[in-house]
Amino acid sequence: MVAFDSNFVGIFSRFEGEICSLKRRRYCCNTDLIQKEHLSKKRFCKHLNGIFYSILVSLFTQVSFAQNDIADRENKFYQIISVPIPDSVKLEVGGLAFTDDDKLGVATRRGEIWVIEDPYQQKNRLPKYSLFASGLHEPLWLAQKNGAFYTTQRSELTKISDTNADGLADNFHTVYSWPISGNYHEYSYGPLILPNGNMLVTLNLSWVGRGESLTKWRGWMLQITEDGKMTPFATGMRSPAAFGLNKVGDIFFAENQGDWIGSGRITHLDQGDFAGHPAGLRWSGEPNSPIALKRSSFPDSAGLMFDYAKGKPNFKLPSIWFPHTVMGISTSAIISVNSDKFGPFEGQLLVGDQGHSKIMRAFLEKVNGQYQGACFPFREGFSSGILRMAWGSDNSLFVGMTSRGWASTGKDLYGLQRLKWDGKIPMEIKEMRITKDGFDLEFTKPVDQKMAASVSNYAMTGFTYSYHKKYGSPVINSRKCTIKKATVSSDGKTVKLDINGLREGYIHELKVDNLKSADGEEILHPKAYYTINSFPEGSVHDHHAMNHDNKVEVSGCGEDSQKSVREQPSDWKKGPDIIITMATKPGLKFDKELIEVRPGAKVKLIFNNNDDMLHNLVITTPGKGAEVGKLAMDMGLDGTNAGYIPATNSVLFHTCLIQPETSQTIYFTAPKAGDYPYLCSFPGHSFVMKGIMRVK
Amino acid sequence: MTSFKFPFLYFLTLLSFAFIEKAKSQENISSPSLSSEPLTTDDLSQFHPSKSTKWIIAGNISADRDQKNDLETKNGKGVLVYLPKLKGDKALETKLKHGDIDLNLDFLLSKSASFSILFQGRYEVKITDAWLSNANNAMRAPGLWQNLSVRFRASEFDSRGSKIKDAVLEQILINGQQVQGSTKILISEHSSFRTESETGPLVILGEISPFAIRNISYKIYEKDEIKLTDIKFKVYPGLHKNIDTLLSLKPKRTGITDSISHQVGDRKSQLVFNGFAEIPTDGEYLFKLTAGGGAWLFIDGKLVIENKGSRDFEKAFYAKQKLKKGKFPFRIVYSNSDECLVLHYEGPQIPWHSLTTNASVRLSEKFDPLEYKVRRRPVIQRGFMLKNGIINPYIVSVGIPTDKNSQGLNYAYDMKKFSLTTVWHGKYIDVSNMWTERGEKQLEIPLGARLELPGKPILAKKIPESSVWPDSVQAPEGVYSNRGYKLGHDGFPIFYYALDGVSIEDSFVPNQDRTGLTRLLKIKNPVETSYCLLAEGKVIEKVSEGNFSVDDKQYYIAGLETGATKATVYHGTEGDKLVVSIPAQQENSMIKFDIIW
Repeated sequence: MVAFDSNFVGIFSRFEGEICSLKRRRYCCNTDLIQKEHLSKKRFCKHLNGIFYSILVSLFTQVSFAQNDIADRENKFYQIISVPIPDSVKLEVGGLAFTDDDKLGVATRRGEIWVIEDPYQQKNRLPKYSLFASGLHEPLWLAQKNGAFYTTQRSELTKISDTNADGLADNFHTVYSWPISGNYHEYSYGPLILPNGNMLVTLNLSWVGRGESLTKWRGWMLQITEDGKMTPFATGMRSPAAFGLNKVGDIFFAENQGDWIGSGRITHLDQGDFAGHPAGLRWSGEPNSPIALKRSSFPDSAGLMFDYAKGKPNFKLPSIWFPHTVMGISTSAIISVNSDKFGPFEGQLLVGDQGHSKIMRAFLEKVNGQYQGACFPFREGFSSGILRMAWGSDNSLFVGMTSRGWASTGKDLYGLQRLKWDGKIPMEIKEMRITKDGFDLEFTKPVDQKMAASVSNYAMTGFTYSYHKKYGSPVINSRKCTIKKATVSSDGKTVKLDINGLREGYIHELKVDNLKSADGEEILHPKAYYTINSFPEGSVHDHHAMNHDNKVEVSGCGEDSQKSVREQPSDWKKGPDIIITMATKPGLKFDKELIEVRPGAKVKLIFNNNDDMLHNLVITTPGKGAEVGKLAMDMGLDGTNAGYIPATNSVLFHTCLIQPETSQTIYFTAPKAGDYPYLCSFPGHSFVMKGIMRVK
Repeated sequence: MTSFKFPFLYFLTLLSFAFIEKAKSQENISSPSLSSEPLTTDDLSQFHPSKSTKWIIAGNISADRDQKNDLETKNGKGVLVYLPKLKGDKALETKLKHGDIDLNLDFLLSKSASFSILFQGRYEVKITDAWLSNANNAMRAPGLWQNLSVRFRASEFDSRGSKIKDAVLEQILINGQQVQGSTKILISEHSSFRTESETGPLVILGEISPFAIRNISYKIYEKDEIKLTDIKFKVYPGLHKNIDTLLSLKPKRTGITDSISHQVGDRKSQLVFNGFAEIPTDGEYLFKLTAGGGAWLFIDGKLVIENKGSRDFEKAFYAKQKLKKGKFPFRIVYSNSDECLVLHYEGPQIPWHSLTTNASVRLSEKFDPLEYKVRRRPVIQRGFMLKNGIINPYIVSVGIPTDKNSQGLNYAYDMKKFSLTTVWHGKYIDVSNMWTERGEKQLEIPLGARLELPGKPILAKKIPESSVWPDSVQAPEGVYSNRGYKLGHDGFPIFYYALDGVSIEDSFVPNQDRTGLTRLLKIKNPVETSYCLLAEGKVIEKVSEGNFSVDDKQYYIAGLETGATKATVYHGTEGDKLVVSIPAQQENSMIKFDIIW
């Protein structure tokens, strides 16, 4: 490997001497770089906040303390360790792959591949970074096979090798290429290397105000052999950034909310499957297409995906829905837990989330031959947006991150951290299995028998999403289920719930309250979301169709219509005093960060959502921007149907959550002089999508 | 008075803010425009006669790039040549007098030559052979035709003749690269025009070395423009592709306005303006429309321009229209999808003007420049690149480090066709469009004056002697097999690919004196005779054995070595081709030549 050039050495020597410099303050404080002195560090950092940061920032830290409560509890079992990065390296992680000699390869969005020696910091506190390759076009994945790296660039699958073993890549071989149009959304991911050496890649749809497949095989997963033979494998994908194998080698991919995709989810894929977004079907007529479905057969609004899929060959339902904003907003990585060295979750999947900087957990079971199951929160509080995960040889999980252009709750622009299990078993719902009568909950530790037997400690609600070409979906057809009976097994590890009101094709939210382990430990994450695609044979549940209330979907918009006046008030005889047009910019931004109005001015505010995501505009009372953002985030499922407008006096005026490429106008009278924050309260956006309305 | 010497120092300061401008100016070159007036160089009739002059008319000319003052002329016409060895006037003055003018011409310098152009006989733009100068990466080699484009705006005077606005050189482009923004200019010490009036001649001023000029064209402008008056507007709910639909609809809002902007209406609504257009003069007008959503302009009931409902607010539509002087009703309809309605026009002696306000433009996001700096080793970066306004998404750009005495050398290579598409001297690329925020455009912007090449795949199985060389790879799906690039120990990429048993390695290194690139092609195992295209262009002239000027002296091929195989220039209807035939069964053919520009 190449030695550092003089630059790097210098940076590391500075790094050595650092304690919690101003620049790295957040880095030190929000994560657990220094574990042993965790508490005292936190105090120290809090102190530093006071010294170095203005009121605005301390507001943020107040909020983040509440938010970090759960992260602090999680940290007792799974610790986040930051892998130091030299200042000169912009490690905007696109891909992670270990080499045969246990070095970590990292592909970056700027087209580099770095090789990190001893990323475990066993030999040295500062791991050694070597630049192995550069110049690639936005590699968003990294794999390793027989001593060579593989990645996708925008238009090809590339094998990158070091033929003379000098530690520098010297051959960039095109394994297979595909045409691209130059559209920004045409990201390519992979390869996932299968046990037989074949490779899978996925191709994002183009974005032209909606997802389209402008060139051949966009929206598809392709299987490619080492010698460049390609077979179209499956389609129906919109933004398939994440895919992986479970312990037995079945393929799962993760999808992000968007047009036709009501919420994030993971789907099991077999060859020839169609996963829901119709744009890729443009190529289903090609001679080598394994799918016969026609693009033209899809109406703009197709009801429920579960119903629409019935009787259609190749149509694959999501294995597990990850309800938007409560279980992340942008699933981005899937990895299987294949050993018991990472805690009690062997055989389960971990799913990363970019926007929420967290990892979730998925338990899958096969019912009537198809996968379905439940997702659970697992670990939050990572430093940037998670894009990739990889297992280290010490069974710690490396997490590669970037947030450029897509903001994340972890504020760093990029980062590399790892998650390490400390050997203690957290009290968790380990598995949630569907039964003929309801669900069996298996816990990681014996439960308190008395608490666990009380039906009032469980609550379940079923809901689903619309299947339509619009972007995202509100939560629809929501209905409570009745917990009839809770029976605890003799070993105390399993609770059998008998439940009325479960529905096929619905997601079922389970909330557990007031339940502890036998030794008094609270459940770390007392909620789960189980997707029922089918009931086990012999079930006594109601039939789905009978309970299917096709009520009109409504995406709500706050509770107080006076805060969102959408007709010009009749007493504004001369019309508005000022018209403000606010638009969005790519990268989660408003196009203006400061607007000025006079006190008492009649304001007409036109909000244009030019982005490819849902946004709103919420004006708050002075100093309350961060608080409102936090409240909106905490609304969970309810938020979806309230347009993420929290019911609080801190919200003064707001638009609704509006679709991409739409516009909404609100009217209000400017309050007294002051600085009024405005933000997009969609969970995860408010950290960067904000500004100030100055009344003076 | 002080001379405004051609601004080498200015380059340094101006380049830092010039890149985004540059992309724009590149675009301007290929954008439609009303035709300019030619100023013939077939004879000296357009210039004031002189008893004795150093200026002559020639046919073809040639100049050795390495030999000072070398310039050979052949009898003929079309090229204006300055020969200092002749006795007579250095200055040549046009009969044409101008105020505001856009001037475009080609020039060819002998080594070390310089000359000046004095606008209105006073305001100087000086061109010097600064090829490979560290401060100036726009200039090409002596002996090549280069392009100069200048936008000059004359001083303005009030009715009493007092100056109210100084003259300004708004834009100077050399070989498409902007070298000076709007700046106050000084008056040449050579000027014989001591007092300024509203118009004056162009003066071309030679010095001690020969040079040549051809293809002079210009547009001169008056102060006329189209005036829109009595403008009323209506806003209709909804978006309508068929504008006749509006007849049956009731507007939700109406009123009067003094200007045209989408902001008069609302998003997702149809906006209609009616009023009168005062056309200042008879003649041909060129309209340019850029809008997010369908837009139409009618004058006197006739459709002048529309954008076919396009929502691409970065795409311009053009339409020419003959208009009569006078006052006519106009109508503009805009289906406001994306809040961008921009209408420009150019007319007889009228420069580009906008009919819409600045606020009606939707700006695409601009980022601070982010230069990818080349240090000790060659650098490679794949990305998208624009060529004539079209994205090539398969580009790899290679930047070669400078040494103390030379500029950087750069090229862009198409990884689909495996062809050389662009070369430039100077700095490497700006990557702000790739690495800022989401990097939606993914554009690599060359930081130097580009020499664009045809970018065709170079390998063919048949020789298309008279026909056009194929533009795509002659293989299924249009891609080669066994392809990629290797890096040599010095870091230079060697591109490799194969077609039906023929395999090629293609690489570029700086040539010996770093005036250009040495291309090395290694071709293996042809199963039947194959052909390799080394150059294509309007005219390929053989300078001496192994040395050519290509595409009517746009660049040189020098030191061509083809081993046992033979290079031939084919003259076809579509231009000339320099082709090497690779005989069957030959083990390893090597072709080596320099590309110098």
